[in-house]
Amino acid sequence: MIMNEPCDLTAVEARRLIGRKRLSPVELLESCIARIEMVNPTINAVVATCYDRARDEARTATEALLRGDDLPPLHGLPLGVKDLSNTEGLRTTYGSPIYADFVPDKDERIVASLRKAGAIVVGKTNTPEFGAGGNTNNAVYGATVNPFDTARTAGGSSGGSAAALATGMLPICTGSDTGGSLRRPATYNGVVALRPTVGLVPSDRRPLGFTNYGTLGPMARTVGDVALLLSGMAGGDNIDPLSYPHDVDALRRIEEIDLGGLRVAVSEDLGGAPVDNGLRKVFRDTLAHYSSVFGSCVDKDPDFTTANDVFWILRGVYFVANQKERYDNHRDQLGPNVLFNTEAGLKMTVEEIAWAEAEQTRIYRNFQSYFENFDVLICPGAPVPPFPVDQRAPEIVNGVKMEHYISASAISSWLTLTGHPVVALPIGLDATGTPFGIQIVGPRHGDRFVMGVAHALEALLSQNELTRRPIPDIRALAVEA
Amino acid sequence: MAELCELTAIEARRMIGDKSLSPVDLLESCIARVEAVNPTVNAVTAKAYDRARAEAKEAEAAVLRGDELGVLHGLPLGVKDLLQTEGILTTFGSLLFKDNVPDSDESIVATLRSAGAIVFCKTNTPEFGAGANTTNLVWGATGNPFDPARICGGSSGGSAVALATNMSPLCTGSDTGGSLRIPAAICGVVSHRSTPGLVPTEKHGFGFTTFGVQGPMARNVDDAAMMLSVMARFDPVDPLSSPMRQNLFKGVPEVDLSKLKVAVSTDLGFAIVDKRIRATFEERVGLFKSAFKECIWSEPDLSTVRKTNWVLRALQYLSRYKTLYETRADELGPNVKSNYEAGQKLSAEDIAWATTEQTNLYREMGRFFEDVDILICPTVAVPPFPVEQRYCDEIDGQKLDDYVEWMALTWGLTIPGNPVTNIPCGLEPTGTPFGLQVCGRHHDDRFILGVAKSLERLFERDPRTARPLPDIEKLLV
Repeated sequence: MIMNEPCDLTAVEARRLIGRKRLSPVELLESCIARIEMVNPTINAVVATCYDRARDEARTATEALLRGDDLPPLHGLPLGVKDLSNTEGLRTTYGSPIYADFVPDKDERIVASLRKAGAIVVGKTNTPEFGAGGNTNNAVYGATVNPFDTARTAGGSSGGSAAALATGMLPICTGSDTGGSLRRPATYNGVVALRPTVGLVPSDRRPLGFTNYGTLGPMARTVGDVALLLSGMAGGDNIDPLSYPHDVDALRRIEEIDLGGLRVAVSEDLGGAPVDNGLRKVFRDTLAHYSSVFGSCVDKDPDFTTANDVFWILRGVYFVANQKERYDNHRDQLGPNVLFNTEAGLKMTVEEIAWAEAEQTRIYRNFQSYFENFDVLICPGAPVPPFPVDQRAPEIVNGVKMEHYISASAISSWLTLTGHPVVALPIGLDATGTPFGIQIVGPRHGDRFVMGVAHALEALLSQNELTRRPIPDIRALAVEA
Repeated sequence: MAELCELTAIEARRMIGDKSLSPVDLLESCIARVEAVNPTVNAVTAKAYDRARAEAKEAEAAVLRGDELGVLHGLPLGVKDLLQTEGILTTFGSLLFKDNVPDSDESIVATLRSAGAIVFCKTNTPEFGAGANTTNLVWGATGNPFDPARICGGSSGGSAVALATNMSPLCTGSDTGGSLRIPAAICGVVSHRSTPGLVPTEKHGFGFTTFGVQGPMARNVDDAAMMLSVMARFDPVDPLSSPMRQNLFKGVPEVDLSKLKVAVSTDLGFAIVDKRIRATFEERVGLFKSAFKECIWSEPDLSTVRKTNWVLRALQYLSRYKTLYETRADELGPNVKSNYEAGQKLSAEDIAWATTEQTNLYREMGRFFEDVDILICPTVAVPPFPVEQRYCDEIDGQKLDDYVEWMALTWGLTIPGNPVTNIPCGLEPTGTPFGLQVCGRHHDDRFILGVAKSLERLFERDPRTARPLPDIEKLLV
């Protein structure tokens, strides 16, 4: 069921209409608010909201338009901000009861940057406690459910953003990604995300600045929208050790890519990541159907033999760095994922950590050699179909029991270690009726290039009703008025 | 003496281009200088004269043929002995590698060669670059050209001495805790520690680090910048490397000093600094401060940098020397051993703390440079000490805890990773060169070099601040 409200427009189209004075920011905002009020009681994607302030800003944006001011790239576009990012005057909980009533007095950099680019913050989107996990559920707000099957998870940790986008509540949302938190919820909701090269979107709150871990990134319904949003959040800055000077405006100009000239590597499981057999089949069949459009397309796994151990050890250090103070002072208010990771981290030895840091660099370098022969790598976007919302994480994949709550994340977390840009792109539905997608991995710093590839593929996939972006039945999600 | 080896690199390259200088003659002049003074100062380790002569002849032929010439075409180059050079003995200053002849160049050497530089010698370094006294069991100590009984600094000490004595117009160096800056300061030459990643390397054990920055060393800022223009590039083999919009290092423009707000600091707020160095710095600031729009005594808050440096350094040693420590500990020197053993005592919590703190310090520098354009401080906390002494263990009666404490002024800036150019500024009271660190914002290397160039121009007009030159006659055998 395709809806045709202003809130269902792509961000690029909405921005174009605003620029031509054919759509007012007020009208667009009201449409988004109406959609939130209609489906959010079912989905629980948008948590805190700031409608009054947003309405004021939309009015100001409309006035600027009528005055003929120079308009910034995101002028008048409603924005959802993942609840891990601080928003001035708007409740920010990180999904933790410790922060259930926390109202920041300052925007963090990404929010300030997006506001400056013209975006209007409408609300916060749900996340697991401190972003730990692939099921968006927490003790403050409860679970965000999948718009295609409300008994199942929206994925995580940027699950609120992904579900809000899929249901037309908002045209653009922020996300963040350590082990797959931009990519997996995008895959489960049939939307698009970019995990940028780390440093492209600077963060003033990344505690371990000299790592490829946690990065912020854009989420939207199309590749063009993701590129537009990215240009509002990217920057060179002296607050993030991995940031560097670059041409921000170039990011929203989609690069024309001739798929026929591409050397594509395909990997069903990155050489050993858990991936459900049903999803493998969808992945194989779809790729087989399209492989002839590429210059070359070969099955070739990168070498991630040690990646599981490296990711696990570095994750431990990351949790100790992030959570030690709360672990010491508020242990009773921390959830099982955070406790589990922090305690595992505290037990790690210095030899293990030294090994993992050096091994990450070796994995990184091996991946550079791998990429000498390919322009992009394509692999599945998720390890299993969305699982029941009351389950903490996938427990069994193809009959094999998973060791812990992030074991099933290897298909995305191993790529994190490389720091390469990855686009999550929908390719239709899986056999269980929920969206499925692919990860398209580009070369280091090839963010524009990989978005160009994704854009060309998106155009191709949209010509076939089996592979075009799936859209949930909005009316079925509506609450009884 | 007016020898060809005394030409600046820029001037020599220009003359090679206009056919008024043959690369062969330039090389022979450098070789003659090495042979004349190296027995006294011991800066050069392995020599590759035959190969260099063949390359110089070919370089000359290329000029005569009218070939397109590289940025460094025909310029002799000394390579620090921590870098792998194909076919040339590379010892890392360690007995374990005393006969090591690599079968390939590492990428920095290959890049410099492909820009036309002629590698004719290796320059001395402490064992694995650990420490700022350039001495090791393979080659012995490198002496200070202003007083050979005292240290020349380190770990790029051989390079600094080779430059100061005109053995070579350009040399490579590398810097973890000050190894580009300290020897340049002590020998009166120029070096640039760039933003990490600007000069990519494939050799980092830990890729996400501000340690181990490779960089150019020369006798003036323009020469260093020309060399940096070749070394700076995008290579994803280094995880901190990023695409450059343009490589603008060759011919960096001078900066109008009268528009700058400059912070000066004697001790960065935490370092222990000898009172003679303090007095010298204060006196020099008095000489140059009027050149700026505003000059204030101020420093960033680096109060946690000491522990952060110690933990991160130890962690790196733990990773890098694990196998050697476990199998051949008796062949490792005391500096490497002490860092390794410090590493064994760390916990996951220490590492999480230090890695977080490094990011905090990075951000602190960002805040600091919102208010000022440039930070200037001394490079070395003490006058050079006798070569027999492993490190400086006491400053003005205060005992120092470990062998890196006296280098706090340099590793204090390593941890946040801000780029620094070292430039000479006259002599300190014991008669050896005095150096300044000119430090600025991340990724602002070109601006910092421009400021350093303008300061160099200013300093050369006053004998109290001009670059000091050693007495070559006294160093002759």
